[in-house]
Amino acid sequence: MSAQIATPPADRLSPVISRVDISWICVATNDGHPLHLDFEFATKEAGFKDVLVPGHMLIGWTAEFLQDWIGAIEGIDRWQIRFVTPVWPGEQLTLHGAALEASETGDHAAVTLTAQDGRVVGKATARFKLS
Amino acid sequence: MASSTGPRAIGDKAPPFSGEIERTKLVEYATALHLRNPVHFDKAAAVAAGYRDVVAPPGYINIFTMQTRPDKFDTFQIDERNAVAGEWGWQYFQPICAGDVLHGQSELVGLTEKQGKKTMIIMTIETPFRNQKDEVVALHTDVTIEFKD
Repeated sequence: MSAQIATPPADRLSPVISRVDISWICVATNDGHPLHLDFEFATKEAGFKDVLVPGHMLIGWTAEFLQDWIGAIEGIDRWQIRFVTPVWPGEQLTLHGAALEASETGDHAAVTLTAQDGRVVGKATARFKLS
Repeated sequence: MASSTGPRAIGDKAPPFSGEIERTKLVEYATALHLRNPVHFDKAAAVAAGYRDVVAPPGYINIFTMQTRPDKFDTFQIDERNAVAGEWGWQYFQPICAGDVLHGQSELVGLTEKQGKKTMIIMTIETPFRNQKDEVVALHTDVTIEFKD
């Protein structure tokens, strides 16, 4: 089965995550959580060093990577992403794909998202429609 | 629906929701992410590719697309300040486009407890999105982890 899976796209750099784009993704996804938008709240009340980048940014770039891998939206049967550790404004992520062989879950593809300092921040797997 | 007094339990359901997938939101989403495929933000390109309207990217729909935050956090009695998104997942049966009118209801389908430095309550919430023929077009899975001292 793995022989049918296309080679993953080359490693890809996300855009540099700007505070403006964080605002837009919060608007687009109806997410007004202060942890993403309010520096004072995120740092003084919640104890983080900055606002947290919404998971939707990791989701969106991983979905685009998977789409490019299999060729079309309809080629994705199911996929899931795990948020490993926070991402901060100003960071840029590298997306790396690897085909999975004979995985127990039936997934065909894995995508790892890594920050420039080497932190793995997200891990995704996907099952493609291969017929 | 969850009881306002009793503990949460598998089978608890949020109030039913319904709504339209809005083109404006899809364009905002594609703009924020700098997506390159025009089927997500340009109706003419989407129609030329055979879609009804701009297409929702895989990962766009989620438990909050047509519900307020309390629909999740109150229904499933989650203390939002002590909870994190552990994992999100999707299964797709049909493409979702702007203008689609969808409905559904979120349900707690998994509830486990793990002991780490703190107690972790791991909740799995499924949200099916159904079209006007009541067919499930997509299923969203949300694994939320709540920490307790």
